[in-house]
Amino acid sequence: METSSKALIVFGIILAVLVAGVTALVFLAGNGEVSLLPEDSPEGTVQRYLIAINENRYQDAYPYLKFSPDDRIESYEDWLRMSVGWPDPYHQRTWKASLGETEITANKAAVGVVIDTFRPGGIFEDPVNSQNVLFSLQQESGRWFITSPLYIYWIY
Amino acid sequence: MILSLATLLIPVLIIIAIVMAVRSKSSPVPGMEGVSIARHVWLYLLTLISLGILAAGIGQLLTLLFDVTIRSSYISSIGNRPFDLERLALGLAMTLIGGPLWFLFWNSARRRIIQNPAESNSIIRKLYLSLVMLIAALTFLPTLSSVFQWLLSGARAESFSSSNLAIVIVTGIIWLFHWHISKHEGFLFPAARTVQRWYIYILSGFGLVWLASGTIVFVTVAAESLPFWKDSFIGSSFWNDAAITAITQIVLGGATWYFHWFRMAKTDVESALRQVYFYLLAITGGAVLTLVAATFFLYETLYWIFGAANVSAGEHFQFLCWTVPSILVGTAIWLYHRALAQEEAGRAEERRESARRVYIYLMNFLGLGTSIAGVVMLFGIVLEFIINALSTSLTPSPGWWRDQLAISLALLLVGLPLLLYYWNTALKRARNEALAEWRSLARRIFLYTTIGIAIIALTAGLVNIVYQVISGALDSTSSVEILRDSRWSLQAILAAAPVLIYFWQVLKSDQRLGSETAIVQKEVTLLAFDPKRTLAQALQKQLGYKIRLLHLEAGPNETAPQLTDEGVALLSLDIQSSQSDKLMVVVTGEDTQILPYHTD
Repeated sequence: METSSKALIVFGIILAVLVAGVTALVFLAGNGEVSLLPEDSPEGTVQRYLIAINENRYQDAYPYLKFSPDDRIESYEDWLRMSVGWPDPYHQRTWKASLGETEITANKAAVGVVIDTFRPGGIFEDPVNSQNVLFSLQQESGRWFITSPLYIYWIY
Repeated sequence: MILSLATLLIPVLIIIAIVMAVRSKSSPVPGMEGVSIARHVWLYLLTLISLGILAAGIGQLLTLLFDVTIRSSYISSIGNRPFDLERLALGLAMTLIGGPLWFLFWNSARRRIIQNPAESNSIIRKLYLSLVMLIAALTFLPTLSSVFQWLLSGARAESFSSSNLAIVIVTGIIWLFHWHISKHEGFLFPAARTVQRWYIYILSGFGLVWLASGTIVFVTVAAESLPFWKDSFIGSSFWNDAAITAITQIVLGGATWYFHWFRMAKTDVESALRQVYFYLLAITGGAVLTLVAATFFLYETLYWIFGAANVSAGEHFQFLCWTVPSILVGTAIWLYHRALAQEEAGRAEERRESARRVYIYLMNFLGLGTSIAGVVMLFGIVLEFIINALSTSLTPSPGWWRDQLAISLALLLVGLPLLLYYWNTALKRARNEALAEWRSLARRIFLYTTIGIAIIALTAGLVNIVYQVISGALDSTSSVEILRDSRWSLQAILAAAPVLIYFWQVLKSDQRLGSETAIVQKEVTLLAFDPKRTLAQALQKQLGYKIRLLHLEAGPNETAPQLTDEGVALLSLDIQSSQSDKLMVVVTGEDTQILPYHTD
């Protein structure tokens, strides 16, 4: 058998192993449950907020936010209408968030989050759009509230 | 980004492939005469597209593999599962469709080569191989650079990029696979070698630019972190992102340049593309870098000497950190390539002349532009002095002229030597090369561009002055104000007028000598004992077009004909005044004969 034919066969076998291996790994890697961080920490607050958004539980996400009077948002319905728009599950993208570093200064904190949104385009384009989002938080009565961003633009 | 561009490039590639295939029809590869070009283009185009889909699919699967095994172990992520499943679906779809398709098309091309080995030399196949290597290399290198930067930054777990590692692996394997095939098959025919040269010189240029910029940034960062600047630089620790990027560029750029320039392009002295690389990229690029850095260096130094700087020496001389390495690196690139180009000039053919002309006139353009900028600034100072002397309303701040004088002198000190040297070279060439030089496209573009810019500057300047005068007269504006508003126009006119007069005369002189008269190109064959092609080349220069040389068999005592410049000029005139289009010129010893002939 020719060297080039052997190379193609070896390449084909490696490819088959990769396809089978990655598929098996994804299905065996668990159900994707995340271990929760302490609720009274800035990163724990951001984590719970993002989990609620990711699972479309907007009513549960709302209490983690704190609005200034300038935002003109007084109720959950205001927030959905003014800041989020009415969530439409058919136009939402799949996304994931990875928590980064946290910085705490007195009663204010910042949590870096990398959000990857899956947006397949052309066949040679990277289907994942990554963005670094910095969550600002403020502590009140021992609880942390997210003050920015109040929009959840990355889900579309 | 490069892969995204590949989508847009597909229609362009189809056109290039068809054009190259049609052009290569006139000189087909032996053994390829009966092969359908359309089928060949179709086969390799589909192979290229299916390879792209397969590569993107494997990239998705590898990214997922690293995400699941490495990233998820230390990063608190939300929404992993649906995201991973979506990526898996896309990766599987692309791999399972792209993989079999690529195997099918690539194997089909392979089987055709086994049946007819000459097909391995087809221009379409070589274009495919070089293009795949080029895209793979230009994707691989920046991504590998990101991986290196991550490693040098301390390999922090939270900044690990699974997709970067996947891209490095996929593009690295694709490049190696196709490079191995290219090396095994070789590039036997001229058209195939041209295709390969594009790849070699693009990568050589890429490597050189990275090596140069990495070196400059590294030395700059190192110099900025030296203790004698004290507190002049804020937060200037040596090991920062700039230093890490610079080290990565030096290593990867150096390796890329070494491999492509010193190994792949080593023996390629005959190529015209090499001259383009020499003169347009390396020499001109090195020269521009040196000139810009030298101008800035002189300007800042003169500014300090004139006492215009109001900051401490440590703060003012920060510019040394980047200007000195830029001058050194730029000069090294310029001189190395210039020396190599001159060394190779003795071995290659005349076609390199056009690239050299382009270089000379580019240098003239750079020198002229820099000098004119200096002159304009200088006139500005003189006019400002006059305006300030006439004006009673405003008192200028003391020493206002120092900044302008510093930049003007810096531009003149850099631009004038360059202009004098290269314009002198152009004048010498015009004397020695005669018609070939006067008619050259590079010279005419230089002259017309210079004259055009000078005319525009003069016209715009005059229009503004007339406007200011009329407007001032109607508004009863003072003459000093009119002069102040016309200052830049006057500067432009004073600088542009001598340039226009001088180069207009040069252009007219060239035109009188026949630079733009249409030459009736005859089919001239020279039969002479001219082993060094001295007579043939002299005659070609006089005629302004190529002739054919037949070597006369001569005895051991025969010497090459010794025609003077006047003799060659007379011979050229006789050829051009002949009625026939086909001429045989026989030169034996002192005798010269011009014999008209025709073919059946």
